[in-house]
Amino acid sequence: MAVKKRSDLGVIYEFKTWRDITPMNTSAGTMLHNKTGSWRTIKPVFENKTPACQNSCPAGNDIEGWIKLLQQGEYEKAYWHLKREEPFPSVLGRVCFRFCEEACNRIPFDDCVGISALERFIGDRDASLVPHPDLPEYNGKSMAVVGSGPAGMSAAYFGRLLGFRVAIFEKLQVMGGVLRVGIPEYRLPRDIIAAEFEGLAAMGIELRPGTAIGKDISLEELTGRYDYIFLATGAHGSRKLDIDGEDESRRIMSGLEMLRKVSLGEDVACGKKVAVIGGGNTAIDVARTALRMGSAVTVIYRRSEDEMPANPEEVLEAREEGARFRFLAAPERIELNDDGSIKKLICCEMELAPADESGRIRPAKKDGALFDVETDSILTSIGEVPILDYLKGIAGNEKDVVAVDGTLMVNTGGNGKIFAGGDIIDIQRTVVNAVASGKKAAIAIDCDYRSADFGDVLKEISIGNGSALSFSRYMNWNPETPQNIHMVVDSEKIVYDYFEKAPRVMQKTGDAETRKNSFNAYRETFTEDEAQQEASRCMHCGRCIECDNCLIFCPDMSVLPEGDGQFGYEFDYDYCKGCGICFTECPRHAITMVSEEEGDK
Amino acid sequence: MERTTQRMIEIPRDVMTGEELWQPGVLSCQGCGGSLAMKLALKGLGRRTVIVLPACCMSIIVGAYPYSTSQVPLLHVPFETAAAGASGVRAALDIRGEEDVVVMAWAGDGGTFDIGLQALSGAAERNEDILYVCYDNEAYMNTGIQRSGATPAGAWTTTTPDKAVKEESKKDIERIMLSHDIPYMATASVAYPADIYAKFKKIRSIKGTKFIHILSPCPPGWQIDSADSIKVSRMATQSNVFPIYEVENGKYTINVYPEKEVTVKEYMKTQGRFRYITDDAVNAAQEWTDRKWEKLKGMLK
Repeated sequence: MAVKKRSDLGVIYEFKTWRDITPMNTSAGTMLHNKTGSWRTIKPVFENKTPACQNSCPAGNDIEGWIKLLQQGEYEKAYWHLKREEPFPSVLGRVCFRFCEEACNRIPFDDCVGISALERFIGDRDASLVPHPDLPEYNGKSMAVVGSGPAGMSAAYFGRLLGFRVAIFEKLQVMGGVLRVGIPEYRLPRDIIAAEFEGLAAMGIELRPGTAIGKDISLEELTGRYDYIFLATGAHGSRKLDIDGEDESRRIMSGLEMLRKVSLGEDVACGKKVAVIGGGNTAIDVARTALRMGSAVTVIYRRSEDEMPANPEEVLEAREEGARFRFLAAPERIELNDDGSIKKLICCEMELAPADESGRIRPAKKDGALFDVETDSILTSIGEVPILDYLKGIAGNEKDVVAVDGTLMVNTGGNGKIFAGGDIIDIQRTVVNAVASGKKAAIAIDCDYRSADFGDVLKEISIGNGSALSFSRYMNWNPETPQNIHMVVDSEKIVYDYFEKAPRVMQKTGDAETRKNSFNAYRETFTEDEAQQEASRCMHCGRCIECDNCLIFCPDMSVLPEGDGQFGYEFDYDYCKGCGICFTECPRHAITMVSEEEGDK
Repeated sequence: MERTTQRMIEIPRDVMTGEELWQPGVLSCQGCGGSLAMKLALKGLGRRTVIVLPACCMSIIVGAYPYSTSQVPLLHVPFETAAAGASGVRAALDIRGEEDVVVMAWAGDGGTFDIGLQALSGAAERNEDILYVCYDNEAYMNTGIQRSGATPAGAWTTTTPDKAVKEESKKDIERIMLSHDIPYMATASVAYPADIYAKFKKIRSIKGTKFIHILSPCPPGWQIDSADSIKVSRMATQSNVFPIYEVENGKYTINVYPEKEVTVKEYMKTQGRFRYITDDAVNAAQEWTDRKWEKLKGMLK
């Protein structure tokens, strides 16, 4: 089709100049005098919020913050940013329970972001000894940490960052507590723990292995020498089965004791067949350790697999390595031979009763449904209890745990300022919860030192709706963008239309045959490419990443980029009509609508 | 069929932060799709553009004499003369040798589907070198929400009130325009701004009559919250009620295959104007939509 031009048609208009045409009414001014902002009843404000992952992390790890730095290739910055809230990325990146991944807003979309794998990548990459960038001068007060597990390590780390002179006392000759003698080497290599302690020592924290409180040094002496004491001696005792025959054979051992002996290189004889009683993570650790020592393992658990508290991934791996599981069964009694060896373990079949008031399903014995299990030894892991003998006469304890107040302080009746955390107080027993309690205690101790009200501080620094605390907030290491840490961005606030589905990148994992023959770690840290690929799946919930959506969609041209290399945007409230499109179209809910009259949200 | 999300094509940052040809102070309602569509169109077209504007919301939005929010020349013309007016401006510019200037007639659905149709048909038949844009808010919104040929079946307007909601389906303006054998015809939606930008950038290099039909939500007329106007437009595409495609010299391309799919009922439920619709009418609308979508996909072969 040829395009016709007017001139082709021969229509020629002859004006000497264009001024000869009849003058028309022509508008020259803009509409800028019309301040449409006066129409507004609600206004948008840029306000970063707490992502669901950070909200669910007991330690308040600012996951989105360091993933953003990771994506920019700023690995060292990401490392130190991570360590502001969660001090041990190499350790937690391996052994954490990963509440964050369960809460990830990507789950309703495709699959969670592999946060722990990324954390491990960051931790392993920069674990070298460089001076801590946030280290302050000493404030003149001292703090003794009893127990070198995750709670103690965390309290020491944050205590030092607050200016205290810190010493960690450890009963064993090796540092690390449950990380060193509870968690098997294939899950947490020993050099990783050692590197973390080198880091702590480099910060000026004194390490005192082989010093048991109540034996090498008394608690009274400690309270005399240090201004503050933090107790984190962990739960290293085991609950008993409480059945006939239990106390009469050395072939019946607590799983924890077995793990400790293996970790310390002591001799443990399990025999060819091992029965592990319990369904928690310790039971799985015990079972897999026994497998690695050449035993055939049966795990006996009184509920069904769905109710098992152990991490499903580890249960799967244990199964791949050859562990057998017998669910809905509980030991009834043990028959012994004359030489003390086990003749047989008699178990009773169980059935599940409906959930009780606490919501947990109670197993009940089936009458007469007994069966035998042939085994050479029995390893029990039906629960850990703290051993608190050294506290006699100083601290009150209830239900096998140390009683503490809201600031984690122990009521000593005026005999020194003692705080407690980790598995010896009544919290969920995971590594990350222990780290969180150490952080909380350090802040509570600092509040005591400064005579600040911990309750007031808590309101300022608690993250989301959980109990996690922001150490950055406490230290005023605030981000440039205003942040409402109390508001959580869950999946309902995410606009999934702006995201693309992407498969999750998994860490390379060794096959079961190789795994079960050695205590070596079998999972590989991400390569840089893998880490970048997985990090790109993060949706940055609640945090502006300059995606330009607000700028593009504003029908009133009232979103102005900061410019001059500055991050972010500003609203032009002279013209913003408060329609709220930027608020609904922000993919990650980094904009809040505020009432004009009251300033309410 | 490859699924596309909204961010697969992007508007360059320097374009978004650069020269603003559609200045603030506009008289549009809160959440107006029309003002947004114009802003994005001018981002794609650039300064060498003349707008020809018949009676429509936009002739109010742009401001009254002696003010105008538009930073490119804009000519107000009577209701039925958008295409004729644009043809005239084109002729004048050609005489002055300013052939690189794009003449854009920008009319609402009333000025396109109903009142301006003969002028548009004439211009398309002559294959005038103009761009005709219909920003479609599916009723005469400027005069107070009266039914137009673009109003979908089942929608409330002041002239199809309450229990007498519109029964007739929306006029198929795309097919009308395509039967004029014009070189470029496209649909677009403010929910997919990068697509609008890309299309307006592209038409600069196409000679002859270009027609772009933009779905442009009207919060008061559709009875939706102003904050939801983009979300509802997006659902129009996700439900295939308003598919986004272009036809270049007879070749069909579907530009957006939404990742998420919604039903026509879900789309209608978001809007107050559909609150009187019967279940039968919803089913009929779903069938009508499916039939049109299948037909469109058939055109790809």
